[in-house]
Amino acid sequence: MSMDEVWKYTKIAESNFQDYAWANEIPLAGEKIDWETLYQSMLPPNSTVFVFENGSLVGQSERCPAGITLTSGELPGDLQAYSPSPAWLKVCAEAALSQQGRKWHWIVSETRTEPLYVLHFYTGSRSKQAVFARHCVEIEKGVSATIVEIHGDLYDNNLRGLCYGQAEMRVAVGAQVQHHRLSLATSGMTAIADLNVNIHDKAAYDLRTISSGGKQHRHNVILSLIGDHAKASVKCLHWASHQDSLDTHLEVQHKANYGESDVMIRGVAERRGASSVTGKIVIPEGAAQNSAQLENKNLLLSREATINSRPQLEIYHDNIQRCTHGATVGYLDNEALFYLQSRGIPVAEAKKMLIDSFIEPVLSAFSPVLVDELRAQLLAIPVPIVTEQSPVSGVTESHA
Amino acid sequence: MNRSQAPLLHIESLFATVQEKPILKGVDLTVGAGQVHAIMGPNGSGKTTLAKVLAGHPDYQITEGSIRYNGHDTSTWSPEKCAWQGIFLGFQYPVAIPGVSNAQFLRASLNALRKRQGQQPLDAVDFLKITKEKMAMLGMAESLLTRSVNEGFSGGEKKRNEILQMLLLEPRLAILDETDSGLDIDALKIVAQGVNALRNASRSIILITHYQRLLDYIEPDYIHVLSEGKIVHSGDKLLAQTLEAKGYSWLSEAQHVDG
Repeated sequence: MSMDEVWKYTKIAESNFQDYAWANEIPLAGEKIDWETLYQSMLPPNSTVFVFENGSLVGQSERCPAGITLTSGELPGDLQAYSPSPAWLKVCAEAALSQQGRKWHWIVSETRTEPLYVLHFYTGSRSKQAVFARHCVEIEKGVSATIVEIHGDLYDNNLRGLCYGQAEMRVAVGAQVQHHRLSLATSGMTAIADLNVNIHDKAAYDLRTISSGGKQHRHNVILSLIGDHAKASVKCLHWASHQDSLDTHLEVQHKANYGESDVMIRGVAERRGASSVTGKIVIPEGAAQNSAQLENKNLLLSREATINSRPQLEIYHDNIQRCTHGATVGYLDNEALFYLQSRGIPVAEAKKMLIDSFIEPVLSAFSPVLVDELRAQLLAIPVPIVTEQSPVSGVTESHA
Repeated sequence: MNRSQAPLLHIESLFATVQEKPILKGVDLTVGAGQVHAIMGPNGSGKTTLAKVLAGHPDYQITEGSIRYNGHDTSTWSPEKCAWQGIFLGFQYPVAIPGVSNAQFLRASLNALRKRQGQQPLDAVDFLKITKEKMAMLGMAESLLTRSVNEGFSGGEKKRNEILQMLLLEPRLAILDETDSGLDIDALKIVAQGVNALRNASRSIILITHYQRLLDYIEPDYIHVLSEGKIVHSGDKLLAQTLEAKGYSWLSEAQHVDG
């Protein structure tokens, strides 16, 4: 895919980032925030939590529990962005040269039943500020852990800001990781996030993500199954409202034998929102007996909304178990709506039930504590919702 | 059976279209309170269209004629208003709704009606008690409550689920569109028992069916034949036996001779 194609739906070149100042200060400007009160109101009591403001650690639970080590260091000059466009490369280079922020590195060496919460907040009171956050989580051999990562900005909707997060995850032999990721941006924010995950022999990695909001909201995710019998599962929800533009590029690379991957992405676009998904499965030569599937279903709630879906397979090895991908785009099903209404359920409530059922496979994978409020916000849709009897288009292909 | 009251449903010279295609071309039908009417007819004659028009489907447009239900003109009613007023449609092809549990759907439906009737919503405990009783009557597994609405249900399970909804909502007019299709004999008997349990002097039922066998278990007061968008023949329960033996062609032949 050409560079233009890779960045087709994230208008990075138009954002004129050379005017932005990189500044990982706390607070960047304005009022100091009581993070402890904030996260205690969001999370279950006695959670293990680390709070970052503009990339710097500003709060954490009393002590690092046994089995978790946290270190930090200055940013090295090894910044690598996902398929950088010329404009984005410039942004990344400036970020690296700015010497702002730190790299945070967790090592989880004991199995944990409670999640590890990593909260990244971006603050600022004026436009054209850029902040940078980077962390790495390493899950050691045979360890099971749940990582909950939340990214959100506290910008005024009228302000333009840029936040760029890079995360790495290393899942060692036989480790099992549940990785929940919420990324919520205000309407003026450009939010870019890279996530690179290496999954070793017999390790299992489950990624659950919800993204909403953002003038430009881009996720670049690369999951590499580098060990035999590695497993990866992804459930992802895009919610594009107002004039949001969400664009996720997800690539699953089966680099070893007997790997299994299962990707489900749900996209919802309402008002003038745009949701774009490029999902790619790569099985290189020499990677045998892999099984992979990728599904992207999308729901349009208005005539002005946009969905772009590009499911892709790149298979260079003949000996695969199964490899499928499919995508659909459609409006709410008129017959399902009529069915609910015919049972006395008012039309507005019936539409919300159908939308809720569409996103439920992703939401149900999250803790109710995290998603109840989010669900209420997403489903508080004041605008008319368009319905249609038939899908606008549908593509399903499979290879075996 | 009380046949002397004012009709619960009075359809007069009804014309209706879907996507601008005329389907109903002058249907006349009167259903009294407490009566059971069966509508039979060849494929494509407009039976399902008539059912959907009566239930307020927005894709079906009434172009001429009228429907009066319980004294009210229903031509502008939404599907939910039809339901609130006591009209129930049992679907020929019940719609699957992945992600919405059957219990959630049934409770939302029942409470929506209770709200319109000025009653308090049922809490989960009371709802389950009532629902499980009715499920037992229909021989339904309780596990169907936690599964998504109609998703992965067998043909018989879907139809029983329709009857369950009817038993819960207790409509005044139930229109059952080919409820017998996809049912084996045992399931048919159970479904018929469910329908018969609901029969009373104020409730009316319209059965749309292709086969006499349903009418062996739910005895109708009248049988009508719908053909090319209008009712061309009406009779008592014996008409079903004639149709079973001769098909529908003799009707047009008879009309031709009469003409």
